[in-house]
Amino acid sequence: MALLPRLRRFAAGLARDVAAGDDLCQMTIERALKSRDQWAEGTRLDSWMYRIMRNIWIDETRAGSRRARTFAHEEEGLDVGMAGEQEARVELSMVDRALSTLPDEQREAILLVMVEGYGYREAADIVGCPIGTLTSRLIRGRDALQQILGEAA
Amino acid sequence: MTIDPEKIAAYADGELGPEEAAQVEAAMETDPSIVEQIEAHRALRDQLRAHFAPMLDAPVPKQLTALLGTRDDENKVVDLAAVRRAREAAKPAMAPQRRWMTGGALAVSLALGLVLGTQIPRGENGGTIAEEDGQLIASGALDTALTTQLASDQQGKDVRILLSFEDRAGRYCRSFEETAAAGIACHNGTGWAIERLQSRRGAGTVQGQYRQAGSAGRDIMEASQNMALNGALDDVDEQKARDSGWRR
Repeated sequence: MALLPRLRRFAAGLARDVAAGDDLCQMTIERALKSRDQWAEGTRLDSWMYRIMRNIWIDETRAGSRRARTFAHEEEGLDVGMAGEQEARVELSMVDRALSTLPDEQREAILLVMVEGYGYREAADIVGCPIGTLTSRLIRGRDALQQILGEAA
Repeated sequence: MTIDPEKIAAYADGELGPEEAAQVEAAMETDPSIVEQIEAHRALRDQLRAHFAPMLDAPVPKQLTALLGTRDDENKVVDLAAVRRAREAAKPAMAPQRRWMTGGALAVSLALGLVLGTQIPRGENGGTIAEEDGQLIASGALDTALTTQLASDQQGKDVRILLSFEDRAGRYCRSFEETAAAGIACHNGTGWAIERLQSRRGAGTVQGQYRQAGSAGRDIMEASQNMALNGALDDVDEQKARDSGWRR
């Protein structure tokens, strides 16, 4: 079903890297299973899980413990930007690089709205900030991305 | 009138009400730079989506699906994936990648059922669901209803169609409710693959009667909305889809 691949996508975007994203995904699923009675029936399961993922990501980053952790990775992890042609590969990794230059809060606003397709209200709920804050992050992030990618083109 | 960048972005994201959208559209007529900004916004969005698209089609690593497939005792989720894995292990190796993906997909749909605290009903359903190559498919009355029944005409039918929609993979999908279960099935070109199935707790004691707005139905409606690309098909589009044999 759609949810697990989408969680992986969001995790890879947040963590800036597919393998680190999968670790994040794993922690998210474990926490979600543990606290699944806290999920309110009738609310969106995906938003709830994104919120959990985001909180874990913030905790992990803050604790600075990610580097120290060792995880067993799948051998053949997918590289975001693995597309046949050389040209496409260069362009795709440009997107990765451009995204990773954004501050975390702008990157997550961009990911939620422009990649995941959330409305402003839902995205702001996931992040836990007012709508106005979310839209201004979105716009700053978008302007920065357009500048970086525009220069490269 | 000046239109600020927030409003332009909101327009491009489809976030404006009709009045404000009309304002932006009026401004677009006189100010080509607004059109450019909207196009740039959409181009960036498409570029980002295309960038991440491979992840949606990629097989989910076993370390993730494994987390979800092994808790059946506690939650009474029937772990079909484990049964199927055991059986497939005995088969000669063929297209391992493909098989593996199917296993992943099934484990995920089971896991979602698990999170929702439900149980896959088996054998209590008079054969409306069968298993084929590790995939649950609709059979019997359910298959017939999914293939022929329109949401607008189901008085006195045993299976009720809740919604018909198109998913992100471009398949036609329909959510349904019957006496013992509710679920979502998507047409895979030959038949209806069950994507989600949930027992209707407390239902089914009186033959042929439905508990209105049961919790299973609500979850399934919710799930349908999350899967749908553009919301539900209307009566006309649903009929068209049926007449085309639910093929794209």
